[in-house]
Amino acid sequence: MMRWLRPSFKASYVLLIAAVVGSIALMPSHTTLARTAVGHGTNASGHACVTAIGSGDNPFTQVFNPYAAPNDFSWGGVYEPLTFYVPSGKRYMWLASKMTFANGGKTINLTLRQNVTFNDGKPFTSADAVYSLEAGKTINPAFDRIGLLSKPSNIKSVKADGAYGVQINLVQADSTFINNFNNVMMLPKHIWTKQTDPTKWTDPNPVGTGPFKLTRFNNQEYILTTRKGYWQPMHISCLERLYESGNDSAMLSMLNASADWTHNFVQDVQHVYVSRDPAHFHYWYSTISGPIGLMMDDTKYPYSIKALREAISMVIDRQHVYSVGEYGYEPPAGALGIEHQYPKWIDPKLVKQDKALAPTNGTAAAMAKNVTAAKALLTKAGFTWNGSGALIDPKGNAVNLEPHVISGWTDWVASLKIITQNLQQGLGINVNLVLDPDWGTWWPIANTQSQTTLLWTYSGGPTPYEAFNEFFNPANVTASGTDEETPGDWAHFADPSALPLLNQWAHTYSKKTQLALAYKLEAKQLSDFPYIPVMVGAVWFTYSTKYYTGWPDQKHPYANGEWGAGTSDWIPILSHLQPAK
Amino acid sequence: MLFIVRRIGFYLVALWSAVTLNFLLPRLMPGKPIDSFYSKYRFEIQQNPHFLDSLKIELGIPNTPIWQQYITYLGNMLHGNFGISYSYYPTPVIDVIRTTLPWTLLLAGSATILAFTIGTFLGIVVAWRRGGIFDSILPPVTIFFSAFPAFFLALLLLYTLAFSLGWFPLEHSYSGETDIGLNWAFIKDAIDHALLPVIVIVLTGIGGWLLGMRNVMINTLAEDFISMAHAKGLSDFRVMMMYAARNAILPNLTGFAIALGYTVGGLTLVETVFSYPGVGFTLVNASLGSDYPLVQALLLLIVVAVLLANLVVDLIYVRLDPRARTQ
Repeated sequence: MMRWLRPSFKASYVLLIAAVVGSIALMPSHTTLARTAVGHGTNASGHACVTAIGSGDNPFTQVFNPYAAPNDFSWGGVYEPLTFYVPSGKRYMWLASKMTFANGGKTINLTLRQNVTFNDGKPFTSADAVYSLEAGKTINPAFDRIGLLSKPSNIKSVKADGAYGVQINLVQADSTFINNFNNVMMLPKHIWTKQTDPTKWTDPNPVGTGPFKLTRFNNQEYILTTRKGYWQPMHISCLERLYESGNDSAMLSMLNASADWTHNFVQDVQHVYVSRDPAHFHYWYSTISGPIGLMMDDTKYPYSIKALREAISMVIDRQHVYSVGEYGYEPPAGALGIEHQYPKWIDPKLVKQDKALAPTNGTAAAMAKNVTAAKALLTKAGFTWNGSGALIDPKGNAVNLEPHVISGWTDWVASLKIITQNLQQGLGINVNLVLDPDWGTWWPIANTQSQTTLLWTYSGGPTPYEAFNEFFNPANVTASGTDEETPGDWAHFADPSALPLLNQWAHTYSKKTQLALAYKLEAKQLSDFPYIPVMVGAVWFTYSTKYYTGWPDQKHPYANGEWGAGTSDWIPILSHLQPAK
Repeated sequence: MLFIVRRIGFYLVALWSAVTLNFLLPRLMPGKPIDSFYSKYRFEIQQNPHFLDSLKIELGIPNTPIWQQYITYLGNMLHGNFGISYSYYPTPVIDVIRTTLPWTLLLAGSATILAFTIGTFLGIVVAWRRGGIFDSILPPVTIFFSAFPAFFLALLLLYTLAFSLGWFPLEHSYSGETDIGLNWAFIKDAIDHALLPVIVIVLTGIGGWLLGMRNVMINTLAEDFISMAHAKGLSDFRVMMMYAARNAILPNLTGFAIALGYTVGGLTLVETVFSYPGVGFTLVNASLGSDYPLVQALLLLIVVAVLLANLVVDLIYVRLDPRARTQ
């Protein structure tokens, strides 16, 4: 045997053992191998900051400019609005303590609180308020959030009334104008006038009237610490936002209680999250929210035929979409779409017609009856069926539908598969469901409705005015095939006969008058039927009471639970939270 | 000398063509830069339809012709002006790269170096003791692990070792308690957090290096000069390291240099599982979000790193292997 193959070669063994021992020695020592669930930014109590996480974040960059898609809690944590409303309809007076109307509603007088300071110590006065409201004029046209620069503008003037008063004069009374205050953050004039180009300014150390000051920032977390001199009492010392790149790491942070507050959608949340610690882990998937509907371009034949839209709506099995497609989180929407968001505004006389157009009983017998009724409706409108059962429109062509959906949105994919089945079997429509790979492919189709998709609505006001305005107002219609991103009139639909009603609504502050107008507009909605509401777009919100209590929930809906980088309706949470006893 | 000049010239041409493709490819993808913001903020937009108005204007597609954009792009590249990122607007691209790239280099760089070193050394041992116990166990075991997708192994180890047993940190590149800097507390913290991701990548990477080294070694061991070395009376260790391994390592070294160049591109899936703020995840999101300035800068970085690595290997090869010097 050759000498070099002799088994008594020791050097290789020695080197191998040396490598293993060396790598163990170099490992940082752990005093104990087990780690306790510790939130970052810890002190002796172990969880000093309220910890908020999302999912699918990009590594953070230090952008807090409220007009440039800022990091979360720039709105609300650092910058605040004058006043805002929350989904339950309640209005909070925030930096403005009082709001009165004069001159038949053409003048709005705001009284500002007198003890408000920015987090750099300087006082907040009407000069800052006027500057911020007129941001479209004082800073950059793209910053206009109150309609100052629209042509024609309904705003005659915005001026200071002493050091702590602001007066806004409108050309015509508009009861929906005050909804804009949700979206205007108060900026410190002494800081923003010094910026040469605020549109390109990252605003890395934001100065605002809010409770927090940025004390720590790196690309995987930032900490906002409560400052002295905030205008109302705060009970938490800091708020921490952690970077979570995906659902897996986010879920683990939620499960070991290091995350207190999330706006993540958790599938099967009761089993996956709440059951792990039922005393502390909670969720509130609020349904006080607008509808998600099947949209189609109402200017295209045959979708322009109302009977077709009604028939489609009648055969969709909303009960199964709710329980199977949406995991029981997004209840069926009625034919008006706004039943869950504005329950007190629904005309009781329309309930029966509403239920007939959007039935929710999923039993086979009920669905069969709906199909019969839908077919009768179609026959009356001139539709026929050919030998193989395909639906033929009055012009003699087969009715096709090509819904598009993002393949990763599994709940919508499941819901659309149910809908596809309903339409194919019930009405004989030739439906071809297309799964798009990503947002970039799907969004141009969705926002122009070149093909049909499920989409949400923009009904975000304290009254259902916006819901009607979105689809009725001729000003919101763009040409077929162009994007409807800003007005949200996905169906490219308008009802000019509704315009006088909408204008009447805007001109009055009387709840009674508005309610009567709402009833008329609802009747129009059922007779026009511009789109097909399918389910309510639930709000995702989970919270842990292990370290902090005071969260809103079903019984105490004092605010929206889901924070947003550009919304105000969750802001009251910050001052309600307190350490758990 | 002429050889080196020719090589550099070749690499410059490769660089230019990569840079041009770099310009064209992101623009061929569907979607506008503002679209990714609509996706991310669609809940805000429902309440505040004007939330993205100023971004819509800033991110609008320029209306200069495409060849003019190309010339501007080349000029900017030469000056190192990478512009403002779209998906992190208005953060400059340099800042985005500056905060994420070091973490990727730490993670991917150390993992690649470790995997290469350990894999190659094990390959040497296994080839030398061909047919022995190591040779029967190590290649199959390491190949078994390298068959796992890295993210799958990452999820498995994350859940069992980090979450259930608590032996490793759950996520991130360092805990919030230390400050970035050359202090021991931070360095220890960063190493602590990099351990599990590095273990995952090394486990899935060793197999390739080991097998490659082993196979070339076995061929090298059959050469005449090995018999000559033994005949001269040199020790086994000296023959194994100085003669056999030194020749057998050359192909692996080339692969290593290229792998090192690619570390700049990040390890997207592993970074996602561990919420490790590196450049891989950033690059993927930038590509999906039509963030042209960021994608261009990162692709340029990858191209330069790979080409540089290739150039260095070419030059080292010439140094190590005299046969390459002859024309």
